[in-house]
Amino acid sequence: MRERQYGRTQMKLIFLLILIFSNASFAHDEHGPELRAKAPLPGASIFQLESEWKNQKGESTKLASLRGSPRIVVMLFTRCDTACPLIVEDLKEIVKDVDAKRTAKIDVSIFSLDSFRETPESLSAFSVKRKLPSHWGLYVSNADAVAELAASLGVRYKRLPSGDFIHSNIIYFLNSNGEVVAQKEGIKSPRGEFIKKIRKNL
Amino acid sequence: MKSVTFLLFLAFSLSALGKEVKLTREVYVPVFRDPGETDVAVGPLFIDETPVTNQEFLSFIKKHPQFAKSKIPALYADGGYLSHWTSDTAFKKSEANFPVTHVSWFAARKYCAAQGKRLPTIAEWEVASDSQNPKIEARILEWYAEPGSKLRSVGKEPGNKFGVKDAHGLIWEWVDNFAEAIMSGDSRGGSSTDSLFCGGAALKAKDPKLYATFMRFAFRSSLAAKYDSANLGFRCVRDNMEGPK
Repeated sequence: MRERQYGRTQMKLIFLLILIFSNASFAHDEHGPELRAKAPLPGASIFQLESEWKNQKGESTKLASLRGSPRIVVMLFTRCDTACPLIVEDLKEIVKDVDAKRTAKIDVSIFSLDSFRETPESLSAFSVKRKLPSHWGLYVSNADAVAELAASLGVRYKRLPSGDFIHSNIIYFLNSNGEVVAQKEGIKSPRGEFIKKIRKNL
Repeated sequence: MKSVTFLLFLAFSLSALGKEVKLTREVYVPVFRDPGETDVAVGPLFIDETPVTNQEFLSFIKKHPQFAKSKIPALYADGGYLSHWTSDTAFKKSEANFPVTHVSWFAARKYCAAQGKRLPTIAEWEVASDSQNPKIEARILEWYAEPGSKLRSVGKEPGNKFGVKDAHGLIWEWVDNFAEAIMSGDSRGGSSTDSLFCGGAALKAKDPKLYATFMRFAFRSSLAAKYDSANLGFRCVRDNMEGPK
């Protein structure tokens, strides 16, 4: 009788342990790099693009490495002195609003349209000059990679003989799998709807 | 005797496939100019004599099955991708030499890359197609006015002054930098409205040459990389000048 009860407690304990472990492996599924890499990406994910990018620290990275957390994405070039500072201010305002009601900080990735003059150094300088939070990633790559990413997002751009770019001012919100969930077009457009959509998908 | 005829036939059909035309050195004169935009040197390069056909695209799909219509990710193509094909690897036999249409920019780009080629730029396409030749302007506009014109096999009409065939009158074609055609006002704080204004001016100018060019510009500005349509195909160019393929 006693032994049976002991057995039951043991069973319960084992069951509990299994629960804890399965929970742990569940969490691992979502955040562990090895398991994460194996799950197929959704068909609309921009993380399917295989291009190599360098960040402001000069580290090489693939888009798939951004998988795992939702993020705000924008394409611009750091020499831009008209629209881009405004986009950055817009970004900061959006982030401030989004982060206000949560403990975690939302990720932001800025991709340069300028494969000709942009370097990790110019990205880093821009980050300092515009006082960007250190966890924001800035990236540069070759013309082909830029063309594919821009095409995937729907960014239109043209390089002028001066080396400057005409480009769409669109801020995107991507879920943790790299699918575009929401976008905000234009610098002076209202932020409300966009922020609402971000909150809903965090 | 029979086999000789067959071999001759084979040689003939092979020679007709994948022919290229050489552009030595030409100049593209943009009609709508953004600030500082100058004339563009085009060439030397080889451009496909005819648009890529269903048959040619099938050989590509066989080597790159991830671009078959049941496999291609949503990022790279819309639902209409290769919708005129009867399966992943089949189409109506009579359409083998029709230009392949219902292809996205991503697929067209990948096809060209797989041949060691690339999609032409706007400048290259406009020059190679002899689009700004006033003598063919009327014909181009007439074709633009025909709604949903029927497809036919490529290479049936004589080539233009370079020998390029089917540049007009059969399909519209993808260009690599279609995204440079910007007409919406959401572009940088500067003067993207310049290009918009130019387009509007062209409409009023009643200059048919401007009008046809404007039509192509407007068409490109309406495209997205994963779009496809029943009369949008492509051809490739090659920079490697070591003789024809």
